[in-house]
Amino acid sequence: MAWIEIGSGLFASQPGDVEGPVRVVIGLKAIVEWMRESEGEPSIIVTNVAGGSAVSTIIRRAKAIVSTIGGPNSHIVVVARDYNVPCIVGAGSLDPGALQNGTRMRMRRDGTIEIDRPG
Amino acid sequence: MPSKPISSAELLRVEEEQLYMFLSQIRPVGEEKSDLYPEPQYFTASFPVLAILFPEIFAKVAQRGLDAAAFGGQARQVLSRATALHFSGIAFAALWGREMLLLEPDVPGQKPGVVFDDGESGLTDEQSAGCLRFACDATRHYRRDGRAYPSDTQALGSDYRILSTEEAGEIAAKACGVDEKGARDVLGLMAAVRALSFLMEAETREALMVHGPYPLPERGHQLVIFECSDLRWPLFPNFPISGRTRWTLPRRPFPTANLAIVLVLRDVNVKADRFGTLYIEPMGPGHLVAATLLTRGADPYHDEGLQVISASEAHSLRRLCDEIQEYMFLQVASWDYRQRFEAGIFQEQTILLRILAAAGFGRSELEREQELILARGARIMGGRLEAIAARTTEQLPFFRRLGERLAQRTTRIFTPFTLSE
Repeated sequence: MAWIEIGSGLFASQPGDVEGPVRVVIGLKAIVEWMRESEGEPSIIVTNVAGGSAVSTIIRRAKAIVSTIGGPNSHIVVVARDYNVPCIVGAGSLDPGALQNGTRMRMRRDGTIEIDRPG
Repeated sequence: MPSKPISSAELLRVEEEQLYMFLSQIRPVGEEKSDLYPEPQYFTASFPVLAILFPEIFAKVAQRGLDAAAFGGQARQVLSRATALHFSGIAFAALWGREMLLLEPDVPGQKPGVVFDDGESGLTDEQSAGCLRFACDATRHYRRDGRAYPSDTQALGSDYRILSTEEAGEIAAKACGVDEKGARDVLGLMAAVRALSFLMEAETREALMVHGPYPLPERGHQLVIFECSDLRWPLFPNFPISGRTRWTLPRRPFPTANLAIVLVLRDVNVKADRFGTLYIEPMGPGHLVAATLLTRGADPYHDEGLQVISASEAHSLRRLCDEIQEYMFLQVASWDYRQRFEAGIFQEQTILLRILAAAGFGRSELEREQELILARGARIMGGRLEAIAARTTEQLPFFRRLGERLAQRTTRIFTPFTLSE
């Protein structure tokens, strides 16, 4: 694999190296669609919210969470800590719209976020 | 309890300082988007209603023989109907609502010392100051240490204790040792209950309370109690959401109306915010020594006394919680923006009913009060809802003010009171 750095944030829950497929979760429709799919490999949720009410519904399918906003005490972090799910917040330089579901992502202990270079 | 008299201006200054510390050190409220409930928008539509109606609600509490001190003291128990969130939330919502009205254009009857007056409902600075004092007095009598905030100099303090050492010891004695699987189940249940409450309370934590840590005799052991006081939401189906939409409650409800999860933890560090949230580090099954579950029964309107549920039920209760979470989430997710905005507003207004429930109001009284609150809320803010819903966070004057304060572009958040004192 050829990893390239695409952003960074604050590793606010369960810091460590984590790798998994990306699942972009922007908007309620994306959550509902995922709920209707059968459970596959746990994914790294990439989202643009820091609230806990929506993401908590699908957190059982999550290997980890990356949010483009939020801080160490955001509700999304509270929920992630409860579920022992690694979570990076405040990754403002990350563009979720540029990510494809299923792309391999790696979160590093220092908050760096990488994806596997296509091709 | 501290008895030194403190002026309304000083109360406002301290509250503003605490708010700044909360926003800058814990969480910038209103700036964290939620997909479900448009938070700064529904706050802007609901807080002015709360600010206007609080004085009348406290008058009704007083008619039951409870002043702020007695009200706060009465709540000092496991699974009380009103908790830290409500006591601190009164100060929060009363002042935010007042300021939102002061920043809105064309507010009826506004003049120095008068925030709102439409001939039927009104709010003066005297009343806002009274709400702030009520919140402060109630909190001081609710917290075991007699303080209004966990810390004078930081947003986070070392604890949020409401029980005496003896009471905490009695609760801890009900906890039974757990193995790793049992610990995972209990912590999993806590996570599921919190997630469900975030969903149903529009992320406001209005039914959640975590108190402690209470030191225990065994070295390194501490007691923490996580509570959810509403797992049935009986008043939610009455919300008049547009398009004839109503909350539908789950066919298989949570078996109890409320739940406390008693945790005996070892080797953890705990910090507390003013709203009754404890931040526990590190938190995991290896740190949970013993646990039990407590409830005040299945009827949301009747206190059957504190009863023990075996911690071995945690696994099945968690699964049920997850089912309910999915069922309720799919309802909200099917609503449009306007309906989710309204659901947030109506949920926020239930803080008034929770206060009355804690003062002893029964089912029929609460249902009648709910009708009154919904009607009053519609009259006070109904004409402004469309405009508020359409604004971005940056276009909401109060949240712009908060942003300016956090960026140090202004030194104040609240307009000083105009009082006769």
